[in-house]
Amino acid sequence: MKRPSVFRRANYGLDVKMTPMIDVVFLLLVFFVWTASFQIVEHLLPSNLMAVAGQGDPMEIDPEEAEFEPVVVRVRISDGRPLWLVNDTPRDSLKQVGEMLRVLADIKGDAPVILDPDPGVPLGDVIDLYDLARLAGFVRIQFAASEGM
Amino acid sequence: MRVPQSVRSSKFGFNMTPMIDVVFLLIIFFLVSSHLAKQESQLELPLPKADSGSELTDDGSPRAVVNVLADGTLILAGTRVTPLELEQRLGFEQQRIRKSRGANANIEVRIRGDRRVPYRFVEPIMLAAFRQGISDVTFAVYHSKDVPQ
Repeated sequence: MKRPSVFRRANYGLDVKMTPMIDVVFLLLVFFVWTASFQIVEHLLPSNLMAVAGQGDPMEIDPEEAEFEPVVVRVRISDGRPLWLVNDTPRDSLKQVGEMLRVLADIKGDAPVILDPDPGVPLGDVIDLYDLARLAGFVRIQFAASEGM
Repeated sequence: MRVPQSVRSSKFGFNMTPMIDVVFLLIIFFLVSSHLAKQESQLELPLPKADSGSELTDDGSPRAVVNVLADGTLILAGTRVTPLELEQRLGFEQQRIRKSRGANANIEVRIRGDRRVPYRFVEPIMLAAFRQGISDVTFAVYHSKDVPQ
C-alpha cells in the first residue's frame, strides 16, 4: 500500500481558504454600502419672525428703526412666471433683483427687508429671494404675513 | 527510518472565522439600524436651493421639524397635521420646554418644504410659530453646488 506523502499534506495545509475571505469581503462590502450616505447634505437658513399686520403693511416699527425705510420686495406670479417688485419697481429677473439689493445694502445694510410673496409663489422662488437678500448683506429680513390666514 | 508524522491541529482548536463573522454582523446590524433611525425623521424632499445657508449643527436644542409636501400636506413627527393641530402641538412643545428649561427657552421650528409648494402652505407654519411665541424658524435648504442644475 502506498503511504501518502507527508510533504503533500503539508502543502495542502498552506492552501488559502477562500470561503472565510469571501465572507469577510462581503461583510465589508455590505458595511460600506450601508453606511455610505447618499443623501445630500442639508443646510439651514435662519429667520426671525416679526409680526406684520394687514396685507404686507409693516406695523409697529421701533422709532430707531423708523429712520430706515424698509425695503419691500414683493413676488407675484404673472403668466406662470415670477415677477419681482423691489419697492414697487418691477424687476424681470432674479439677477436684476440681486443687483438692486446689493446696491441698497451698500447704502443702508441695516435697513429691514420685508419679503412679501404672493400665496401662489413656489417656496423655491421665495427662498431664492431670501437667499439673495442675505447674500446682498442685509441682516434683518422678515416675511410679511397676514393675520387673517 | 522513522516516518515523520504530520502535524495535526488539535481537535479542540479555537476557530476564529465564525466568531469574526458574527461580530461583523452585529456591528453592521447596529450601525445600519442607527443609521436608518436617523434617516427615518428625514423625509426625502426636493428642498429649495440657497448659497447662504449654514451647516446643520446638532447641538441638542429642542426642535420641531415640519415637512411640507408638494401638495401642501404638513407632516410633523411622521404624522399628517392640519395648520391648527400644528399650532396646538407647537404651543404644547413650547410650554413643555419652557417648564423644563426656563422661561427664555425656545424651540426651533425647522421647515423642510418641497421647493414647488406654494407659499400659502408655508405661511401658516410661520404664523403658527409666531402666535406661540416661537421666533426661531429655519428653512432646510440644499447648497446649490450639491444639487444638479
